[in-house]
Amino acid sequence: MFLRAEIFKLVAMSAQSEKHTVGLFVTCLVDLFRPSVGFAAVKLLEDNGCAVAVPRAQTCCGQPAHNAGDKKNAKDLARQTIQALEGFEFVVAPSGSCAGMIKKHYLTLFTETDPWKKRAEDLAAKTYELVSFLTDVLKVKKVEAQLEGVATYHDSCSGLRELGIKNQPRKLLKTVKGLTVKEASQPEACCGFGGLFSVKYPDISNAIVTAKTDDLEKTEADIVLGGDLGCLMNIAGKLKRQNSKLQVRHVAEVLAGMTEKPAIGEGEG
Amino acid sequence: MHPTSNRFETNVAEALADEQLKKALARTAVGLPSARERAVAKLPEFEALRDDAVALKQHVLEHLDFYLERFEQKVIEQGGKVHWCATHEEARQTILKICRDADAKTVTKGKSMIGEEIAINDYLETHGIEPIETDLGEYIIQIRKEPPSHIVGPAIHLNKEQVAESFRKTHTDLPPDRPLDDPADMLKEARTLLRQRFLKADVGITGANFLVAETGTTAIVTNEGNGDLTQILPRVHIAISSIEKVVPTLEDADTILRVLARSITGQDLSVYTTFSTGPKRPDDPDGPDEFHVVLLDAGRSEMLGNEFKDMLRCIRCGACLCYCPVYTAIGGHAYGWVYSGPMGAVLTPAILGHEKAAHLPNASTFCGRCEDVCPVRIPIPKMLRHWREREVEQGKASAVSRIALEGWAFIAKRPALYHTLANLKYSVLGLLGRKKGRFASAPFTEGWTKHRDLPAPQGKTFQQLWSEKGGRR
Amino acid sequence: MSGSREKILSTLRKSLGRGPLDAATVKELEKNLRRPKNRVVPVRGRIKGEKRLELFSKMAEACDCTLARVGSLAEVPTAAKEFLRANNLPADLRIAPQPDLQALDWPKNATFGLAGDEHPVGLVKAWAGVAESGTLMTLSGPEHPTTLNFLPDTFIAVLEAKDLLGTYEEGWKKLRGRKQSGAFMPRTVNWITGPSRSADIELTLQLGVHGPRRVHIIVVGEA
Repeated sequence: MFLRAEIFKLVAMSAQSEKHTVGLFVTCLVDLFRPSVGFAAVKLLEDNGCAVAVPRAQTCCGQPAHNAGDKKNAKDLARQTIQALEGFEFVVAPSGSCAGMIKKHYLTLFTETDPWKKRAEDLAAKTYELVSFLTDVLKVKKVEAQLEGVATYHDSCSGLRELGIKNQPRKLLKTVKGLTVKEASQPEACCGFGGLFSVKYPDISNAIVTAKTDDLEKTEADIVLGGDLGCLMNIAGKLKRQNSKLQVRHVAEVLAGMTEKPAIGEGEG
Repeated sequence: MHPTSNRFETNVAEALADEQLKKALARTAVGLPSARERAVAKLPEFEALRDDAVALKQHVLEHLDFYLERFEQKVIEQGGKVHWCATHEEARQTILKICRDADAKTVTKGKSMIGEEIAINDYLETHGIEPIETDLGEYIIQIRKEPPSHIVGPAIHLNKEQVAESFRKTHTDLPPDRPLDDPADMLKEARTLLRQRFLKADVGITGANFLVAETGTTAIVTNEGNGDLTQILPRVHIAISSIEKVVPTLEDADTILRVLARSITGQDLSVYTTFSTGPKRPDDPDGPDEFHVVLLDAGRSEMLGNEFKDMLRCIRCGACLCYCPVYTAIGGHAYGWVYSGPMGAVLTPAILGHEKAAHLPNASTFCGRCEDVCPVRIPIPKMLRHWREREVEQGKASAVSRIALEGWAFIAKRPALYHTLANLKYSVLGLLGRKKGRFASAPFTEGWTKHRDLPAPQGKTFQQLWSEKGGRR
Repeated sequence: MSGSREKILSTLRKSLGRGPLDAATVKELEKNLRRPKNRVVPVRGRIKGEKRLELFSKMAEACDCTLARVGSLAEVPTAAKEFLRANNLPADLRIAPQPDLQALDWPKNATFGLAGDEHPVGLVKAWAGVAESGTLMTLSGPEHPTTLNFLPDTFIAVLEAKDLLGTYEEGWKKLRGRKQSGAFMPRTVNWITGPSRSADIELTLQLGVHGPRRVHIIVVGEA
């Protein structure tokens, strides 16, 4: 009955207009730590022809469990997520690692004969990371946003290597009025987060994030941007510990022109 | 060497405190990847060659028994001998017997990871035979009594002052005040010294980059020429190799050769690629009288049948090490054995046993650069994850992991509970963190806050705010 | 130890989920071994004539070889002497005992045979060159002791332009054509691409670690 109501809503939604129906996969980090990223994502999608819904039954995509070798919990969370997101034309997540988990790894969790496999494949086919969805699917060429300053971009590993996200954020950032993008010498170098790795091997993680923050500081940019909150919190946490002036935001915030809230790890004063 | 992979955390602490190592690793992390990138840019067929190498290796592994038997047959036809060794100990004993039968006093060695794996140097020394490493990097670590820190550049962790110090300590026949500031001086010294050892050696041991079944040939790849002097000057040449190194034909070897050096030093080919087939012929003026191939299993045949099979494609180029953020932070010695970096994190538990190297597969961010650059496209993060899966299945995951993951999963699988708790906790945390926007410390977060601040939540969760807005569900 | 052989093979087969291969598959695999096929061969080396020579020279020089070109074998001794003089090296040649080389007009102090530590310059005639990477290909034999490639400080290789090949595959094809007493592989096939080098100390590149410090290639004749 719950499902039927959802489908009815969906039909109603798309009947309303020619808009794409998008289910937003918020991701646990955005939900819990930085909702403004979620709102930025919604704005970007709505500004570009999407009707956005946020299913309530979503929590975590299961990537931490999957990477930790916990097959059972990974599968349980995958099933839950698939079920929550099935009813939409597209599913969009403001995170390369969560989108990567759904798009690349869900299908490997189920055997050929498991009915969930087809459901996972279907979901994978329509799941996208936010920025690449805008450029590659919606063919968005520019954003209506303004930010004075110099930004440098951190390429999160999953987004880059699993989903090929590299040029898309840079293309859109170029259209932000007043903003210049300056590349670090190793924008693709890992930030040392790696989920649980950051707390299981904190000293190694620290060495890696220090190399990253050193590289970012050298650009003399004002702001660090990226597409994954895990990386960004890790980088921001390190920068703040070092008393750095460098600000860190999710790229969606800048693209949506929603930078009123304090940057990551900064307060209201 | 005695593995210390189970002392990983201690090893890491030592490595991270080593300023000199840090400088050396910075050189590795930048110098070698740029060389690879330049080489790859110059060869349009590089990706096709990688795919070709994968197909080749997969074919060989599916028919490994056939190719090993054919290889053996050809070696024997050419007058050589093949020794099959199931274990490290068997390989050691076999090599010792060959050396004893040859009345060997000194043995020169080309660089061989299998030689390191079976710790043949210590074994020979214990039995009164002197092994002399001839690869410059291997020689340096031999006199320092250290294990290699990288499979291609064993002494990459040292600076030239350290090398000079070791030379002075070891080469005591030479004037103590001689200049050794320049690497060129050290090179000259090593060359002169080792030249004499080459000429006097009774047995030469090399590794094998691959074995060719078509002709019974072993091939080595070096830049120095030491592997060649090791095998053509002594009376006996022993080539040691693990079993998965065989390729069917000489043309198959070309595919591997075209991706090997390019992936690590950026050369099209290493300076010396040498194909050795049997002992010297009756009318050869130089070359060894005896040719032996020692084939080592030590876990490979088992890997062929489990989830680590893809690891057997490894051609030991060392590229994954140079690109790994963990390796370039902690160096090779921290892994505690002869194989380090991403490939070492997969292989060491497979050969030594998982319980002896349990940390290695866990100490990875899964950034995926290793798989990106692997010439034979080994899905290394997937292999590492398989080790973690085994750990979870056997109930051996660390307490921190288990509690964190089970706790998280419990809540995450119950959206209603999740949202309630989240609303509570994150609102509170948000309030607490509002002014500064971050926490320098917080309970249960020492791992994080040891080196970083923890950004504070903004306050209410997205789901809560979305509900308040009446957002579409 | 033969016990180990059987143990290893049977574990391999068990891991592959089968017994020994069936006769038909074995026949097919053996056929492929007898008739090796080229795999992916880069376009780069698949050129002929003067272009092939240009590529070879370019690649060899990029690996720190020096090259000289002469019209005929008769000019080789002079070319070799000139090279040594220009580099302040002793005109003390140890030469491979090859009929082509023995027939030439060498300085009186030149000797022939395998190399020892006391020979500063080794001179050989390469069996082939490979343009793809500026590589020399030599075969061990009574006319070419392998020690000449490695012991002397300076290595001079005479390469006839007609022996210059484009790719490694062409080298193997040519080698199989030898069919000497049924087995075409000599004890040692060397591919030599530049002088000996190492970057083992602080990643500083140095030449002449154990093998020759200098490689000079005298290319003879037309492509």
